[in-house]
Amino acid sequence: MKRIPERGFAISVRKVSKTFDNENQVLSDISFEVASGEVLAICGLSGVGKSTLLRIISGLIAPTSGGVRINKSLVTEPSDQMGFVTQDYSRSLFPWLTVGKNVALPFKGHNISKAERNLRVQEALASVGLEGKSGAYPWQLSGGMQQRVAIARALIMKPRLLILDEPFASVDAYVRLELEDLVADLVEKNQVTTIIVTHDIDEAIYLADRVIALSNSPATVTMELAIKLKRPRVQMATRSDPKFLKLRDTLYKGLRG
Amino acid sequence: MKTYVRNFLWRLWVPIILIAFWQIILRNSTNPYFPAPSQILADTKYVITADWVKTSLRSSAITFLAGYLIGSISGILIGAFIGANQILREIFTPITNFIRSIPSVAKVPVIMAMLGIGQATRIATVAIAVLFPMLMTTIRGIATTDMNVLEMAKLLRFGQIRTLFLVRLPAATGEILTGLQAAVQIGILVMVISEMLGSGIGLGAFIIHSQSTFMIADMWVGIFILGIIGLILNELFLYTERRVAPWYFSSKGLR
Repeated sequence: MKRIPERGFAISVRKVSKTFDNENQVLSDISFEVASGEVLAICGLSGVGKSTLLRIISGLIAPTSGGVRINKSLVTEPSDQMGFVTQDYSRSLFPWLTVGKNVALPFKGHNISKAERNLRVQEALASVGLEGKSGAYPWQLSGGMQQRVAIARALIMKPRLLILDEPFASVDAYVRLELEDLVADLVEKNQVTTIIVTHDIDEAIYLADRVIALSNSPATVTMELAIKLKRPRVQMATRSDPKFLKLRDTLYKGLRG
Repeated sequence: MKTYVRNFLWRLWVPIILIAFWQIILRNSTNPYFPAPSQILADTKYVITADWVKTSLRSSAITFLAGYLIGSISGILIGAFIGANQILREIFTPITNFIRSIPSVAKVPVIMAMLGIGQATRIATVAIAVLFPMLMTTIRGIATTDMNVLEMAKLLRFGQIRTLFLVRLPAATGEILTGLQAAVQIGILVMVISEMLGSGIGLGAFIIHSQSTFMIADMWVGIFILGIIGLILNELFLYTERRVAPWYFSSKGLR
């Protein structure tokens, strides 16, 4: 299936460096582009600065030098056209709100009627396979289901950019595969530009159109790898495709520097 | 509610045994300063008259409830604003610590000197005593909001007010409940002191009056009633907090 490129945002990361407290340099001169509608995976070993890079792209923190442009305008704060899923669902979902109210949080500050809001919450929950869970509290659900809630919340405003920070690192292996397919499917349907950060080589290749390897300290882009596996991808079949295995080998070497 | 009452009654067996011992030891006591529980109980029906309920109990109830509500609500609101702002926090921490370090009991005469004696003063005294533990716990709760939770608020593009009331305040539920519970005891304490110091009405006044007129059994009645009120208020608190913030206890796996 071919993506319609107009809907998603194009992102340009230009010479981004980040130094904490004037001495601890985490990122060094990182540049890459993400095309509209593309799925980019940023892959790197733990502690290499992937999350810092995502925070800069999403506008949570400013780079020490360089800049990020989303559709040509410089990022200074989180965009309302951006959905975000973090690793730790127990902290990104608010335990004092029901699932439905958590999913509806992005509507705060927007003038939307209650009826429409409820309708969109139902739609969003249905899209992640959580029909009828609106009244439950997040902590009553399994980890995988909580992450589905977080995904529903990230997509409810029909964003043009979806950012996923190690989204499946806290769920067990089988659920992880399920959620990967769910995200791949939703990204396809929403035609949203997607950046996913992961330390899992297989996951990066399975989900992405292109993978960037970050390594060294401070982190630099050590490899860019186009993933030309056909879509839709199928867990076991795609992962045993010789092309997949070759990409896996290449990326592994890229991460080793 | 039913199981709650049953659990409560079940926990009463230790005090019942203690009172039984007291009764056995002092059953033939003629010492007016140490009456047996049966003598105190017999005295109760003379003490608790319609007039007494109206003057002592009603006045104390108003003092406590109004003071507690005013003190805790303003403590939470002021604490929320101070806690959310680092500069305000740095300015107010030494001041609140200074005032907090003065025992509540010692503040009562000061407030009386400023406001005179009367119902309003007693309410103000309780409110001020309750305010400080609420300020401390709320400031602490608000100031220690999880960074990940705050980041989520930023990603949701919440402004400062929305972040404070929709994110930081509910996230501080645990600390606020701790403060509210401690404030019950402090409120009762200060209520009694303010009544003892020259007001002439309320439970505290009744106790001090009984003692100074050698109505020792009456005094004991007053003390018992205070104890029972404290016990009931604490139980009421535990019962209410689980209905006001059920998510807090369930999400932490507490019952």
